[in-house]
Amino acid sequence: MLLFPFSEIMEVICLASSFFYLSNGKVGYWGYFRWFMLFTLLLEFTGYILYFIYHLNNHWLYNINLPVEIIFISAVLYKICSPYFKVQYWLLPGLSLFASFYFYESMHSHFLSYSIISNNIASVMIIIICCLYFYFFLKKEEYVDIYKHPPFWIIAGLFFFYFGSTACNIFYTYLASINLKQQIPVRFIIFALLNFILYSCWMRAFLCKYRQTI
Amino acid sequence: MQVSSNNIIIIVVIITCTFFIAAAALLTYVRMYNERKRKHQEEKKTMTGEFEKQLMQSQLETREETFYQLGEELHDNIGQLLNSTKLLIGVSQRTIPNPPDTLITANETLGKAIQELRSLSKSLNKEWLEQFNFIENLEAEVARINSARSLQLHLSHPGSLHLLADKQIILFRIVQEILQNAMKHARAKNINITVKESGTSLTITIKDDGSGFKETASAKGVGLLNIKHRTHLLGGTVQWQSFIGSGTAVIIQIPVNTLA
Repeated sequence: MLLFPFSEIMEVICLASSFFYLSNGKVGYWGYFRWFMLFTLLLEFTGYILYFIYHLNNHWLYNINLPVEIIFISAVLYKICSPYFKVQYWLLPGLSLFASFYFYESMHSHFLSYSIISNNIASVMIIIICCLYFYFFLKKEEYVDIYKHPPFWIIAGLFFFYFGSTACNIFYTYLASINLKQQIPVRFIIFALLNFILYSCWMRAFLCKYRQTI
Repeated sequence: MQVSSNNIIIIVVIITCTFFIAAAALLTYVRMYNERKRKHQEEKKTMTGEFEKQLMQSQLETREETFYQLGEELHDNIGQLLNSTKLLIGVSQRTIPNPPDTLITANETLGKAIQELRSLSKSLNKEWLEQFNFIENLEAEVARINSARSLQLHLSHPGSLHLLADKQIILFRIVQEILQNAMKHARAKNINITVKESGTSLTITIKDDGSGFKETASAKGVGLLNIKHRTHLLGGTVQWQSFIGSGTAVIIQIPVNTLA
């Protein structure tokens, strides 16, 4: 069954906005979002074509993406959260645990099934860091207008995405089986919605960053 | 017990919806708390401003009181001593058949000093300050500086101001401080003072042809901070436009709601 590539379309829009808003040379590390978005988009399209057109297993592709995604998000979290708290105390154990399970799962499945435990570990780490960010953000005495504060929207998007995907991650095996046997793409639909929220928040962040640099 | 596919889908959807609502609730809480923080900061800023205003007001009152006492002291004590000295010199002049020129000059200089002392004492008098007129005093100040012939002041004004006397004093002290800066630090040769009163505000522009200054360098100077604080006390704003070698323009604006 060929499904409408909703997530991929959101990624195209987000990629376009990242190139439009984050290309003026004054955005610092924010410029890397463009290349991350480009990488994600190419990967998603390849995955979509492999699975829906050629009916091939694309888990190996998402396994390649997983460490790239987690390392990039960890770097972003480090940059954003460092002024608020010692984020490395959460990132280093989280990433170590993630790396250990990732290698174990990859070796065990020979890269043919998705490393869901590693994904879950990284999700928990990201959710905790996002919550800590909100806590320290509110604890800080100075007022910051959230509507004009790009890091807030990046964290809000990540929080929605990873927190919202918890149920899909817990029931990953069941949902994969349901999709295979009954052709009900529950995970696909939920992730389309999560991607919509994530990329909308990120686009808002890119716009705020652009306004800060003009 | 085997769970059916439909039940799993329902569980996943319910959990996802719950987590969505929880995430949205958290973000709403963050937004609300942040909004409260904004209001709190605004209140704090207003209170700090109010406190600074009151502090400045009491500082000014103390200063005017000190001036008053100083004026009284000058008039009653030093003034009397100088008058007695002048009287004695006069008596000496009359008793000596041919008084020397130095004595005559001394008598005249003493007379001028007494005159200056009287006007100074008058300017420091509290009751006189209650009747304070900004324009009259500014004209007198301009005449006094022009008489020294070291620089030329040009004044243009609307005739009278609709300001309370105590506010006119503060304004006068601000202008005095600006003129002092132009004379002492900028070594200006010409100063133009323009006083304009429109329906909404009072604008005083003081332009000099002195050496000018780097705005960033003098932004934290005590003198300029004093001027800023006093203008703030009147509910107004002050702006400096200055470039090295091109002179300085100081623009003071006081809103109409502070007018009498």
